[in-house]
Amino acid sequence: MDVDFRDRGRWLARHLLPHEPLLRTRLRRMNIYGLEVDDVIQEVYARIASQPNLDAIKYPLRYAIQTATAIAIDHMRHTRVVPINAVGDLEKLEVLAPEASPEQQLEFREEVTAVSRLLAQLPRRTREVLILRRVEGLSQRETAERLCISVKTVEKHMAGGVAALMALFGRGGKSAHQTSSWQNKAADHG
Amino acid sequence: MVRRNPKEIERVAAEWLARRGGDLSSQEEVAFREWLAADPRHLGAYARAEALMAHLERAGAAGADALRLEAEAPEPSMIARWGVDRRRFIWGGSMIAGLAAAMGAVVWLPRLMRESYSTILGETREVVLSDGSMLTLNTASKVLVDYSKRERRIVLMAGEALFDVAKNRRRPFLVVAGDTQVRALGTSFTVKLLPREPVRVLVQEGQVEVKRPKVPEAAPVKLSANTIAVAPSQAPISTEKLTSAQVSRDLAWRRWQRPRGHFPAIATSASWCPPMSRTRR
Repeated sequence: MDVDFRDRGRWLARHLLPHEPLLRTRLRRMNIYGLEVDDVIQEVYARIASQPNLDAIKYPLRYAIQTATAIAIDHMRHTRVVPINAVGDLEKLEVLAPEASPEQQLEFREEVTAVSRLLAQLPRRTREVLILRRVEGLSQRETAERLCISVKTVEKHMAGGVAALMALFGRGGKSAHQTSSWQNKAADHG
Repeated sequence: MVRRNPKEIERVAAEWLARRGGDLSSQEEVAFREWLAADPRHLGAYARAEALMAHLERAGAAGADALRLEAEAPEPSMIARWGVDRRRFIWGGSMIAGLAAAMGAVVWLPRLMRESYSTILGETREVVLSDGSMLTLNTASKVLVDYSKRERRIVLMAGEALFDVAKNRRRPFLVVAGDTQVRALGTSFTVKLLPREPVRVLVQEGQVEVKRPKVPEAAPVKLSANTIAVAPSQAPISTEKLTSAQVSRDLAWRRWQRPRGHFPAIATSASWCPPMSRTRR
């Protein structure tokens, strides 16, 4: 698993990440008691990332939805709180979205703007560290030298930046709690 | 199972990703494995973090210009750390900058005139040339950049390169691959030179002219967008029209390129570090 984390990250960036917002919306709509959307998303990533052969996955979106459904079912089995309408709600997740390549779904320009919008929300130094490390491909030491900061500081900015991007992507920066309660309200109204 | 907060897991995953970017001791590596194995969500969060980084890489590689951030003056906090009056600092800073740039130019000019770029097997690379043209090298490729006042000459030594040429009528852009010469104004095209294979030229945009001065059988041909030319030895140059889908498939290798030196705005070279931060490093 180790050597190809980067490789797998690339596959996930193209085939799963673009679908994450859709997965999140659907999971929230299911409204299953005690089911934390962030937990499910993490498990979806875990299950897909540990697939031995990612290229065998022909329809990543469908596969992601099936995986999320399986996780939701597991969750209900474990908690033994099976609401009567839970099974009906699962169908909400199953409704198939058209299988489009991530490129088609999101024009590349938009993707780039989306990334810069995410980056813009980070502190300047953190943003610079992320760009130098990952877009320019500099090493930690090279980055430290370019920015006149210590290697340890580079690492701190990196950790902070990655954590912030993880929180921003798919959740729009709100805390999970806020987002889900807002969603529930919206669902009640609709 | 202890239900840990997903945000907490994300934070730890991000920390591991950052730490693994440096040198991990074997003990730390073991600790990382243990953490990964402790909960599937750990693995999931880590994989998601890697995916986000790949997403950043990818967007950055393709749209580096869009991502490029405005040139920024040094942060006030940094100046405060130096204990220097801000106005004086900027003044002095710009003088030093000018001086350094001038010295740099003198030292680097001859090298810039004939720079070479290469990639190893499996690597692709994007280079912005001094005239603003962009050069993308495919795997196992090498070029020499030989710019003069009158023309911009690139010698493709091996492999394949894509050229996004900045328009300049007075300074033609010329690619030499073996005995084949490709001349262009503002355009985008690739030239491929593989051992024991004819030179191939694929035009994505604009117009280029392919010439082989030493091969009498091969008359010069003009290529327009979505055309490929093949120049076999001792034979006329053949051309073929392609659909734009075929062209983009042919250029698919470009997708994972990673530009280097693309963000001059984030530059302060090592010699610029204020003394204080240097001792702390």
